[in-house]
Amino acid sequence: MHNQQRRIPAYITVLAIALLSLVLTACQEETFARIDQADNYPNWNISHDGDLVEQVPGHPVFLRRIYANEAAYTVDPDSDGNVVFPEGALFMKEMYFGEVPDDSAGPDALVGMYKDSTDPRNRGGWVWFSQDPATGQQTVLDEEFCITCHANANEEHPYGDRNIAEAFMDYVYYPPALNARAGAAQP
Amino acid sequence: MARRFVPIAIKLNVLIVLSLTIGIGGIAFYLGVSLTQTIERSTLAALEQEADLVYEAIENLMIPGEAPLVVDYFHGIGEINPNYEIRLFRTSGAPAFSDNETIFDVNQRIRATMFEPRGGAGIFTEPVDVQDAFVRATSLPARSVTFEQTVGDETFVRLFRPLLNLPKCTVCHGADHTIRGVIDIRNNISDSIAQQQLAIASSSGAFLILVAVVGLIMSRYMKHRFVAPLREIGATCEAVTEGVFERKSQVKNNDELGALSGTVNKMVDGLYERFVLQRYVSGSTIESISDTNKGTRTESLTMFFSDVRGFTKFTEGTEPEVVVETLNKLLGDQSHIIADYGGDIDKYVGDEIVATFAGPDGPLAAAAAAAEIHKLVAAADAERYLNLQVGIGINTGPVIVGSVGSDRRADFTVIGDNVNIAARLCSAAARGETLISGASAQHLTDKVELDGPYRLQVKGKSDALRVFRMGNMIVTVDKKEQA
Repeated sequence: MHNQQRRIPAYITVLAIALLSLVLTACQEETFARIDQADNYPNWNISHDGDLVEQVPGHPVFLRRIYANEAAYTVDPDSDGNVVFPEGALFMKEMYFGEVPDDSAGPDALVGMYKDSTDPRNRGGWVWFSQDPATGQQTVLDEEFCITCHANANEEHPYGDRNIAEAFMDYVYYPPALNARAGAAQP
Repeated sequence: MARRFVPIAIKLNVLIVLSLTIGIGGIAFYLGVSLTQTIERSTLAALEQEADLVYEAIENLMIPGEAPLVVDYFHGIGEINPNYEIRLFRTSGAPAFSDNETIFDVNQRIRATMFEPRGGAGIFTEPVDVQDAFVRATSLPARSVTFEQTVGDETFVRLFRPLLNLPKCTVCHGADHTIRGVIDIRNNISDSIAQQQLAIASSSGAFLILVAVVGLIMSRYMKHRFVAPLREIGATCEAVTEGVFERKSQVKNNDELGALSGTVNKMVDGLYERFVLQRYVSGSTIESISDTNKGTRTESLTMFFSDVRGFTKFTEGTEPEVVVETLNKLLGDQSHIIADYGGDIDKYVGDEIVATFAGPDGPLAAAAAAAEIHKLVAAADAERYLNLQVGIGINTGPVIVGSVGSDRRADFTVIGDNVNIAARLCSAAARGETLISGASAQHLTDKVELDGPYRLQVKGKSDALRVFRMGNMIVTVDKKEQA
């Protein structure tokens, strides 16, 4: 009897590797590049005057604080009153379940909106995400929920300056130039 | 274990059908699946777009409090396309506009009678019927939920789109909830599925017919182009094994099979030439021609000489035609017997046969051949050999084997002293007698009856030869298988 080794043809090996690579690539989840600068938000300016305590749909009650990074905070309206934030603008919103914030314990929930129109999961040019205050874990909220509500910022609404002129506010209810900075300029 | 014979025609047919099935079938299946998925995605995308339109209508009509317009809008869409049904649910799962609860709530919140209560039955009456999808659609973060639903023979694709309580809605509806209700868009896709099933069935049927037709055509082509030529070549080879050399392969293909056919025909011609040549030259000559490496050499052989006794006198009183005919019979019959026992006819010299027997059994085979020749000749009718008989001489020893002659003509033959001794013994043998040298006899003890030894003085030898007169065979010698 011949002791003949049965060898797998090279082309089958190549085909198998190609198929395996294809499957692995297809199964690989798209990773979200973490927005590290969000961790530094406590050092940023707050985009509104005072604490926000009114009840709003979509967020846990009650107290909210919205922080804006340098790119977001320094944007001014154009001559028509529209506000368009540049790429890299970042807002972080702290939420507390009580009316009085326990600053030593930190917020109960944290969400952010990061201007990156190149990200395929952007909605209206913004990547909407939540961040676990304890672990820093970020999760992209790529459904329509966030933007559907924030689209109301571009119309007349009940918050901040109320946008009675219905200018384009780039989905932001409290543009710093129209709220915190305007308030700071007042005597 | 012998492998089962499987005709090439069957292998080719299997290969063709498999190739068509895997190749065309695989692509067709992939296209079918892709098409179905595309249709499903398109259906869902269309539902999403419709949900956006409906959502936009509700959002813009609810602010001025034009809920009846929304309802008319829903009904209008349903009339345009009966496959579509649009409904609105409260977050509790109850049908929207089914009572005046919302109107009372709004009037109370704004502290004015902005909307008058409606009378009569509600617009929508059925509560939500798919709880799990409804719960998912109303959970935060709110998102659309699509799913397929089968009711009886009909299949629906449904979309639950949560209606958010936007900031601008909070003036009338308050800010204590995030989701105001759920839009339900139901699309009856039964016809679409039936069409897809029909398309799949007709495509499968067409595919099977295509495979059968293409398979048949390719099978016929393969059979005509490859299998038939192979069978033709095989038939030629088979004819050769049966000794028929006249049959030639008729394959005219201008390809490898045609070339193979030509090669086989040339091979058959060569075999035929060799077959014919064997009648005229010795086996050792043919062997030397085919194997040019075999040059002159010394080899131990048993020499066999047979000569017709009284042939010269016979020719004097007999017609030449009768002489030749009788001699050919005698030489032919002897040659067959010599060949039967493995002897190789070296040459015919007039009425004499010179043959060799190779190997250690050569002396015994030569003795057996001699015994059978004498027996045949003695038992033959007087008319066959006209009373002629032969004398035989056998000797064993080293002889020179090689090509003897000139560059124009040569014989591949045996020469040497032992050849001469065998010839002398043959000359000395009487009618029907075989003389065997001592060298051969030592191999025949207890196998052949030997009378002797006698001393025989022959020409060219100073010393007398030690010879034996051969008697009957003691042992039976098997004949060699004919080549």
